[in-house]
Formats: sequence, structure tokens, C-alpha cells
Amino acid sequence: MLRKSNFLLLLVILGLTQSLLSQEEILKSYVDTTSNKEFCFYPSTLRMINITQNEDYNAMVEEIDKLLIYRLDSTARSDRSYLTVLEAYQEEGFEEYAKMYGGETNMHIYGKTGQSNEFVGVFSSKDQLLAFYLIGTINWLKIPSLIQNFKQDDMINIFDF
Amino acid sequence: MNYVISEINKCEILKPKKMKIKLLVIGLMLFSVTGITQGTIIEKYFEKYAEDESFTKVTVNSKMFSLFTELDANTASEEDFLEAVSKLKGLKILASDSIEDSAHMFEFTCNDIDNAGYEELMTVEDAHENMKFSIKEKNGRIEELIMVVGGNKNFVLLSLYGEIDLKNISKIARSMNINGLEHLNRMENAEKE
Repeated sequence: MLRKSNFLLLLVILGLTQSLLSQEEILKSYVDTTSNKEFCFYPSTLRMINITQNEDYNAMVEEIDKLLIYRLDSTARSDRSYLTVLEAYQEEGFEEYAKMYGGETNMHIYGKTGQSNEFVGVFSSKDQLLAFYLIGTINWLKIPSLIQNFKQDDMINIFDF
Repeated sequence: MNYVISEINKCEILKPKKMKIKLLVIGLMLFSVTGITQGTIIEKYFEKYAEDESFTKVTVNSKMFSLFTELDANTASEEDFLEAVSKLKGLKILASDSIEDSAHMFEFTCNDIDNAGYEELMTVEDAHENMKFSIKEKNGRIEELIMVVGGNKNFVLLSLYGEIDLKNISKIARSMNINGLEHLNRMENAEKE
């Protein structure tokens, strides 16, 4: 079952979103050699991991068009090559939305809003390094109540697969 | 020739005036720089501890907060949260839980904030941890809230900027599960007391 920290991570990833036709190729070409696991979610699959069918969660994800999550390997972690990918996105007009660095947990989120809203980012913790690409719209307002009401058995932990 | 000498003399006469103008310009520049410095005290700490892995640095930019303005609230609590967050321009947090002399660092930082012209809003002291909230106002509006927490090996320096309504701060604190931000709840408690 999904641990609270992983659930929060998923919420943050989902919470940094908004529609389609994207520049996901930059990330895709990078993860071809650095990713050992790939997850691709659409609205239906996002609802499937919600075991208890929490209404707030379903409302939050219903307008997400696509979410790609990649688990990056140790090479990416050691050479921090993902930073060059994020720089490439900045050159494509993506702006910094949030970042966290120092310590064990690091996070970089960049976004581009407009007709097609897209978000790209990297999360690293002691255990894993994840990159994501998100296209679509999310209802941010559901996040606070989800954080407060989340129970460990509410969702399937996709990161355990 | 006389014309040239007279022009030179004119220039000599003008020199003190030019000097005054230069000083005025330099003064204005320094004033502006002081103003900028006051608004970015947390930046100073971010730079100072940029390479220090014992400190976690968090930055949330105005673009992130602007996403909230696109949403419609369905309930009263969502409306409250939306109202509180939509006027924010940014959030920065510098935090560590392994500072040997965190009480000293707390004192040092508080002095730094006072010297930078921030106005003290509230202090909370207990046996283990102290905290201090300071604000910077402009035209009667709070444009930055600084929170410092120190003690028990913990240190947190948080800056929230934008258009801030103190009544709404606790709503944000309740809703956002960010380490350190929960201390803002005490502001509401203090008001009630």
C-alpha cells in the first residue's frame, strides 16, 4: 500500500499540472538511457489506483490528460544529468515554478502554461530519483483535504512495482 | 581666448553643482539598493547556505501561486484557501534540523531582520524553541512576512511575500503541509488570546 510520503509525492506531481500536445520528447529521449521504469497514466488509470474511490482524489485528477513518471537510474543520480534536461526545457520557454534543494530531498518543477499547459520536473529522495511530465488540468483545491484525509490503504503504491 | 577662459571658469563654477547632482544620484541609488536589500533578506541566507547540504532550501514562485487564480471554489473552505493563496507572490524556506547552536543562529538572524527594517509582529518563546514573526509593510499593506524558528537543533527561516492578510495566514498554514509553516497557526491563537 502507498506510504504517506509517496502519496504526498504523487499529489505534488499531480498538483503541478494542466492540457496536451507537448514537448515531452526532450524528456523521453533522455530517459531512453537513464530510466529503468516508466509509468504512463491517463484519467482512467489515475482513478484505478484510488482503491477506496476517494471523491476528492477523483475530482482532482479528472482533467489530467496524461502523466508520465520515470524512475531514473543511479547514473542519472550521480552525474545529475537531469539538470541539463531541465535547462533544455527552460530554453523552450518553461519557467521555474518551485524547487527544493539541499538535504536528502530535492525537487525541481518547471511549467509552461497557455493553450497547452505542461509541467516537467524531477524529484529525488534518499531511495529514488523520479522524473515526470504532466499535461492537463488539476483541481488544486482538492489537495489540502486529500493531505488531511489520506489513509495509508487508500491507494495502490505504484512505486513498489 | 577670453571666451575660452570664461567657458572654463563657467565649468569650474558648475563643478560643485555637478558634484551635488552626482551625490544625489548616488544617494538615490544607495536608497534603492537598501530598499532591495530589505526585500531580499532571505536571499542573503539562501546565498550563504547555498552549498550547505544540512540546509533544505525551498522556493515557490509566483507562477505556481498564479495557477490558483484559474480555479473555482466549490465550498467555503476552498474559497477561503483560494483567497488566501491567490494574492501570494512567493514563498521561500530555509530549514535545517541539525544545527548545533540553533538558538544562537536564531538570535543572529532576528537581529539581522531587525536591522533590515522589518517590524516585529509576534514572538513565541518556550523551553525548546523560539519563534519570531516580522513583517514589512508598504502603503499600509503587508508585503512580506518573515518567520524565524530556532532551538532544539532546528532552524527555520521562512519568507512569504505578496499581498498578505494575516487573518488568512493560518488558513494557508492549515492547508499546506510544509514543515515550518505550521508555526503560523500560532498567529491566530495569539490573536484569540
